[in-house]
Order: sequence, then C-alpha cells, then structure tokens
Amino acid sequence: MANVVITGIGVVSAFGLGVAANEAAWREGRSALEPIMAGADLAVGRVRGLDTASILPDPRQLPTMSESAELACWSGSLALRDAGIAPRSDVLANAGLFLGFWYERRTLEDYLSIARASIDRHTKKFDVAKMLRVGLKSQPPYTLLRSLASVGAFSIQMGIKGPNAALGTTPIAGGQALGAGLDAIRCAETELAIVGGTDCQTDLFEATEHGYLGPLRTRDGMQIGPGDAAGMLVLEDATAAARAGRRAHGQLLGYGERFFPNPEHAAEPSADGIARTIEACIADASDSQFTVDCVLYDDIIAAEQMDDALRAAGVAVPAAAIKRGTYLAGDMLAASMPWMIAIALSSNEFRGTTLVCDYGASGHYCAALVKRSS
Amino acid sequence: MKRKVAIVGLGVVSPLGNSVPEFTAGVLDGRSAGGEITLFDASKMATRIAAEVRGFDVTSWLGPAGRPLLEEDRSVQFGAAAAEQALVEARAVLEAVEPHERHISLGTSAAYLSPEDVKRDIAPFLSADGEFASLEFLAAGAQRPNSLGKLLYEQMSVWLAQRAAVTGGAKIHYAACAASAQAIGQGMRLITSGRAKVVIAGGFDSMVNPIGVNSFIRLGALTRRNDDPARASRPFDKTRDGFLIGEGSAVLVLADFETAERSNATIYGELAGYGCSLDAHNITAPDPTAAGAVASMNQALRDAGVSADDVGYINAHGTSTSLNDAMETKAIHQVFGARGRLVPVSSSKSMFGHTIGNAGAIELLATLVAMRANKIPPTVNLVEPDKDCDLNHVRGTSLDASYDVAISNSFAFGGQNATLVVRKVA
Repeated sequence: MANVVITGIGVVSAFGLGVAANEAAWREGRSALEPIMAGADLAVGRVRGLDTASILPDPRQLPTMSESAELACWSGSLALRDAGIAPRSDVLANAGLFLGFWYERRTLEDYLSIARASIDRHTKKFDVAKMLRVGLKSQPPYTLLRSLASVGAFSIQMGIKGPNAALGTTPIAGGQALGAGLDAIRCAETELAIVGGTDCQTDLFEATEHGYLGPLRTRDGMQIGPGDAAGMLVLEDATAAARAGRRAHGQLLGYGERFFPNPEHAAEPSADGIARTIEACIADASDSQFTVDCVLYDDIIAAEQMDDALRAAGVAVPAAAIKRGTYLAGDMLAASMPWMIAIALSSNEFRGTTLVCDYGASGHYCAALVKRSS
Repeated sequence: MKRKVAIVGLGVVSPLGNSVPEFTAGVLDGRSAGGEITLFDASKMATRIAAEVRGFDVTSWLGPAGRPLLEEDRSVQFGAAAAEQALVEARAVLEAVEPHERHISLGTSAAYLSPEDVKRDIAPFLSADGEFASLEFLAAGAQRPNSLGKLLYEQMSVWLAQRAAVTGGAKIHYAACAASAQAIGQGMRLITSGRAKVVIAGGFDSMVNPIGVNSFIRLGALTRRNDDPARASRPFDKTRDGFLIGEGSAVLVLADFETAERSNATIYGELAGYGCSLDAHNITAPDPTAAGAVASMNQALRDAGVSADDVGYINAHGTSTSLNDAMETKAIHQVFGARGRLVPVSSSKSMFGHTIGNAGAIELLATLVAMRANKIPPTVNLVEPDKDCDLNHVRGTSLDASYDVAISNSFAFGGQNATLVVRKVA
C-alpha cells in the first residue's frame, strides 16, 4: 500500500489567510469571533476583504461561484503554491480533487429577492400565487450553480482533471474528503490529490439554523456559531513526491470514520463514538510504525470525553499534548479536519504523530493520524 | 487482487413506477412518463412539464416507520422507500456483517425552500415596503420548525443508518447530475479498499419544485415542448431542445462477493468498474473536445479489466440538450473507435426524464435490469438523429440482445464525469 504524504497546506479562516496567521492566532488564543449582527447574541467567524478575482486564472467565472467556492479557491491556491505546483500545470491533469462542505452556500438574499417581488399590492402580504406568477422572475440567475459546484469551480480555475468527489451535508465532510483522497492514492487511481473542506455558513439564513445548535459559548456568554473557513491539503504518493522533489510536511498514516446516528441534529458526541473512530483510524494505519504523541480535537468534544475515549481505545498520550481551542474562529464545519491537520503539521506545539479527531452533528465521527516530517 | 463487488439489493421510486418490477416493465416497454407539472402551479412558467413520481405514499412502503418522514423533503421520502425495498432483498447479507462494516453512500443535489416555507419562515419578517427584520428573523431561528433543516439531507443518512444498523459511516455525494454515480462508485471503492463489506448506495432527488425548476429555466437547460410532454425528452434527436426534469430514487445494496455468496443472496450483477474525471472547462457547458468524458469511460473500463470491445450496451447520459448529446457522441467515438457506430446506445432519460442527483443511480438500475432481461432499452422519441449524434441508437422499442458488460455514463454541471461498469453474473 502506498505511503501518502502531505506536500501542500492552505488554510483561510477568520483567523486570517495562510497557515502562519492561523497557527499564530490559535496558539495565542486570540478570538476572531464577532456578533453576526448588531444586537445579536450569536457570534460567528467571518473572513473579510479577500479579492478572489486576483487569484483566479479565469476571474470571469467569479459571478457563478459561491462564497464557499471562493474560499476553496483561496485555500487550494495556497496549498498548491506551498507544494510548488502552478495552477493548470501538467501534474494537475491527472490529479484528484476531493472536497467536502456542510452545505453549499444558499443566501437569504436569494430568497428575499423572490419574496419581495411576491408581496401582494393590496394585502401588502406575501402571496404564494404571486410568487409562482411573478416572484420567481426575481430569482438570481446563478442560484443553482452557487449551490452546487465548488468542485467544478475550483477544478476549472486550477486545471484539475482527475478522480473527484463532492461530499456534503455533514460537518465532517472535509474529513470524508481526506479519506476519499487517501484511498484514491492508495488504490493507484492517482498519485496526487487535493483534498479538504470549505464552508461559508455565516449568512443569516444558514446561521439561524446552525447557530442555535451547539452548547459552546464565548466568555461573555454569546452562543458560538459557524466560522467561514476552508482548508486544503495536497496529498501525494510518497515515491511520486520524492521523484518530483517536493518536500513533505508529514505523512498521512491513516483515516477512520464512524457514524452513530442520532435524529437530534444537535446531538452531542459520545466518548464511545470517539473511541470506536480512533480504533478504526489506528487500524487503518496498521502498516506504519508509530506511537500517538499528541492529540488535537474539535472543541465540540468535551475534554473528559476525549480522555475517556483515548483510554477506551487504548491510546496513552501525555496530558500536556492534548490540544483544542478550535472554536475561536467559529465552528469551521467541513474545514475543521483539514484545518486541524494544518495546525498539527505546522505548530511547534506538536511533535511526532498527532491524532486529529472531529465530530459532526447527527453522530458523524472521523479521525486521522498525521506524522510530522523530522 | 481487487475485491469483486456484487449487487444484492435493488429499490426504486420513479416516474415509471414505484417498484423494481414496474420500473423494469416501463423501461423495457419504452414508456414515457412526461406530463404536466401537478406538484405546483407552473402555468406561468416557461417550462410546465416534468416526469413526476405518481401515486407515491411513503407509509405504504414503511408503515408506521414512515410516518416521521412525512415531514421531510419529498426526495427523502423517495430515498427511504427505495432503500427499504433494497434492504428487504439484502437482509441476509446485512445480517452477515457487523454494523461497522456497513456504510451508506448516496447522491443528491440542491434543495430549496417551498413557497409555503418562504411564507412561513421568511415572509413574516418582510414589511410591505420590502424591509427585512433581520434581528427578529435571527431570534426566531431558535424556535423555528425545522424547515431550514429540511434542506439538510442528513435526515436521510440518519434514518437509513438507524433502519439498517449502519455505523461504518455515511456520505452524501453532491456532484450535481453525477452525484449518485459517484456515490455508487465511491461505495464500490469502500468495498474494494476493505473499509466496508456492505454499502447502501444510490441516489434520491426531486427538483420538481418552483425554485428548482426555475433555476434550470434560468440556465436555459429545460425543454419547452409544453404541448407534447410525452415526447419532450428526445435525446440525440435533431429537434431536441433541453431536458425534461424528473424525480425519484434508486438504491442498490453493494456487497463484497464473498459475503454475498456466503449469504446465498441473489446477485443481480457485478459492479465491475468505476471511473471519474473533471472537464476543468466550464461550469455549465461540457468540454467540446470530450476529453473528460473519454477519461471517465476509459478509467472505468480499465478498472473493470475489460476493453471497449467487451461492452454490449452503453446507457448514455443523453440529456436531450444540444451540447451534451453531441459531446457524448464524440466521446463514445473516441473510446470505441470503429465500434462507436456499432455498439448499441440509448438514453433512459427519454422515458423518465433527468432525475438530476439520482440520475446515475436510476440509469445504472435501468442498465442492470435490461442486461438481466437480455434486452437493450430504447431511446424513445428519437425520430431523426442529429448529424452530430451518429451512434447505433436503439430507438422506439427494446432490442433483444444478450451481452455481458454494459456501461452507464453521468456527466454533470461543473464538469464532473462518472462512468460505471456492470457485468452479468452467471
């Protein structure tokens, strides 16, 4: 089975653009949260001020792209640059692209455009019949494309033409994309895959659904909601990467996933679910020699749960090597797993092999083992 | 050696019928399901026709277990009913493996609020002059019925995982018109890689709603042959003018061959190969060189260990749009060479329309049932093939033919392509 290494990392979040900015903010414990709007008790992490057109080889496509697709382009561009791969270069013609998102962006404004045009002149109220007759004409032209096609948008910009998948509807979709990319390289479908997650759920429409779900609060009592973020990694067959002269940040030793379904969308994780997932991940890495030196995990998992889970899975880790603090930029949703891997491979807080654990609403769990290059 | 993957359970909800026997009869008889849209008032829309699922009641399939699903999106109800049919057939295989060896891999597309949802959840915060009360809208979110959550297809995964005691993992693929082909292909990968022994794979979708239909109208993708809905979907025809939107679900239970045989399961066929690629060309238009489609088909054939000469039937993506059908024709010629004019081709979308995120799954099912019946299903409504669509079209009625290998193509917006290969099992 092929050894898979990580040769490129790109992240963007409310912490900032790039690995260094994100790692510094995380390490220093800086909060990037802000109220979703004045007077609201919901805090979100927003990415601001990106000039996406400036990084796109073909900016004409920009109007058809959702904000999550834009973030994918940013983080993907950074990851490719980090790996020393130019957009639209030959190596990308066979490269894979596996991208996860909790949900593609749907904005409130799309619905408001329709609803405003559907108010009856006489009753002054929204009228379903008028919506069907008249209101739909105000639907923005790219509603469909903006809700469907991040993988397509990114592949067009970068010239990526190989095996691919777009995974959605769970906050661990970025982890699922990582696993799919790992398997694609292991089974020789491709030697290189760009994998990761992107989410941009801080629109009022999305945030009202998502923001009231989690139990986490800021120090001043605000509920913590979503955080705009994207994280992309360049995975490569180790032999191919060495042949191309690309430096590896580390090795992806294994990936594990489990689903203990809970109809309560806001269901919290269980120690048993985490333990079973860790076991799956460690079993997947059984071809490699390693000991777990550090753990980094999603804030939604309580510290006691993680301790219990590690014990149940038979993993002994020094207490000082267990880290969290990921929600200072909001819940990064599908970007969470690749973002945590980026931190584990770049921060001096980590050494050796790190176990990274993520949880998504409704009972989705995933874990990855990454070993830093010495 | 690569693990072989068996297909051991089938289920379908479709415009041609809501069970596998009804669907099979419709496909082999060449029946068109096009009709006027009845699910909402489309009388003022440029396209007023679709291939709708008729006579469907989720509780008739699931009994009391289906009642909670009545609150869910129509597509989720389709998915649950199709999955239930497949699970009943695959019970022995499921029981032969541990819950963590079972996975879910489904495909779907975009969901939108219905007019009633907009009226209930958004309009109350809109004043007569169009001002929106954002803060009140936000505050109401905490108490809001789960209408926005209805757009999250997670409920499908949760319901199905509980129904089939799945703990291995659940993925929803979201690659537009190739979503369920990718879901099935990636489900196959889960088995060949050893991560799973059984995968419940397929698609579920319904964009036959005002915003869904309007979205495609805005992109100029739908047929406007409103006065002749039964003949509106006419892939490869000189007079084609866009696709007929459809809806439904097809679910297959995949299992590693050893488990399937050990369980004495009915093996409907082997899912032998999967290929996928990206055009990297345009967000809506296919690459006119057909390079992405060619790569997808070639990779699938390689994966199955067969050559183009082994293929007895191509179930085309065949949308009935000008650009796709010409591109797919070119791709078939490039992959099949001289046989490009000989290998039988048809598009099932001529009968049940384009079911979007479910297209790959339902068309694989059409391919499979036809292969098992020693038939090649037709492209109906194909009267005069376009000069850019010079293939060996099976037109009008099914053709008797015995063959061992068939392929099914799916090509999506965004340039995501997928091809699946099925092989007959003796």
